[in-house]
Amino acid sequence: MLPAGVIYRRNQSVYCCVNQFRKIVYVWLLLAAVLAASAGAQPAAAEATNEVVAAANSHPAAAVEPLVPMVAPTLFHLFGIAWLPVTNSMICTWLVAALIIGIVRLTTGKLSEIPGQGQNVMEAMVEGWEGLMSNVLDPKVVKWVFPFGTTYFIFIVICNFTDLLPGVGSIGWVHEKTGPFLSVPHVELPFLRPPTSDVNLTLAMASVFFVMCLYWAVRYNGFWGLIKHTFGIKVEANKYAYLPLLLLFIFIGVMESFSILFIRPVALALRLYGNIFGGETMLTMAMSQKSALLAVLLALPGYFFETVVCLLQAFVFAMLSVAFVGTMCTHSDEEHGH
Amino acid sequence: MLAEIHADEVRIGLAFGGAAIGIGIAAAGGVMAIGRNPGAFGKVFTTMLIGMALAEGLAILAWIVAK
Repeated sequence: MLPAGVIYRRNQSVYCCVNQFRKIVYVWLLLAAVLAASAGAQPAAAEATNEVVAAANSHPAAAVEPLVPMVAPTLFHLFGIAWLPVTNSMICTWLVAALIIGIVRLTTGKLSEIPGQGQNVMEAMVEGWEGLMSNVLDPKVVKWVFPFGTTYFIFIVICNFTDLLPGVGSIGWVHEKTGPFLSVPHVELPFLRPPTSDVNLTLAMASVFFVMCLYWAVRYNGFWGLIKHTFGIKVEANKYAYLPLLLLFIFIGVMESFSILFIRPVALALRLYGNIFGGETMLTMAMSQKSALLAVLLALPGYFFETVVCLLQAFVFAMLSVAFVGTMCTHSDEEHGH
Repeated sequence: MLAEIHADEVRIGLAFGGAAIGIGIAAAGGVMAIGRNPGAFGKVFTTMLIGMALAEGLAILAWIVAK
């Protein structure tokens, strides 16, 4: 018998959810009404849009280009070979990698019983991640996944924080000089660009995760074990309920394998890319304002927001990879033990 | 301002709005659960993250399809 307070609280939380849901429905209705109203006003506005489009078509240079290009622009070609382009985000990646290697070498080159400052920080980080992962994974799987997840976190968090550094995205080539003494309102080809705001890097990291995730899943379950884990029945059933349940779980398995093979890696890559690219665009937009006061007023909250987003997205990328491995490397008959 | 909105952008915006609502509900549920039972942090947090990822994954899927 539960104490009355618990039941009361539970009811209240259910009520709270329902209440929130009603609010959400109202917001969506309002949004739909606004959209319908704007659709009604569309014919009048359509002519104006057409004119704009026609103007853009007749002058290709006047077409609206995004402030930060979606794909990292090429700075130069390695050894002058056409298929070895070096983009500005690649240079930033190399700098970040050199920084990480340097710091780790410096702080953990000579390990001592009584840790110094640098070694202390490294040990705290490693132990923290080990604890976080052992919450989610088997001890055996933690040993495999730990270097992978922690490296991703450290690398991504430093890559993301380059977004906030002065000089990244704001020093580079322009076609014509417009401002006084080396200053321009907007740099067209910056020397450095946050590595994670280029989809190539995030897709590459997600591909490595995808391959390693399948490898660990096969190593943990065995090949047929993995098939059984994905498509098999996960509840106890008597012989009458067995066939419909089998069909149901095979259907669930098909959806799950679609998620594992396609949605998970793509969403992992595009989430990180979208967040950092969006942040970079927002900051560039704010800093390219003509009036300095407006630029500061727009950019300051943007910088606060981006600091949080950078840390959080790195954490989410690493933690989600670990959690995805965790969903594939669990014993499905865990419940039989108790 | 409204005249510049294209159908694709509205679709993407609606998809991400739905995902945002889903993620918000998942986070609220997760915080409530962890507040009630802090010992279950690991399990609740993982499940919450996976739920959020699924919600966001669909939005990203809609983004890819609409682009």
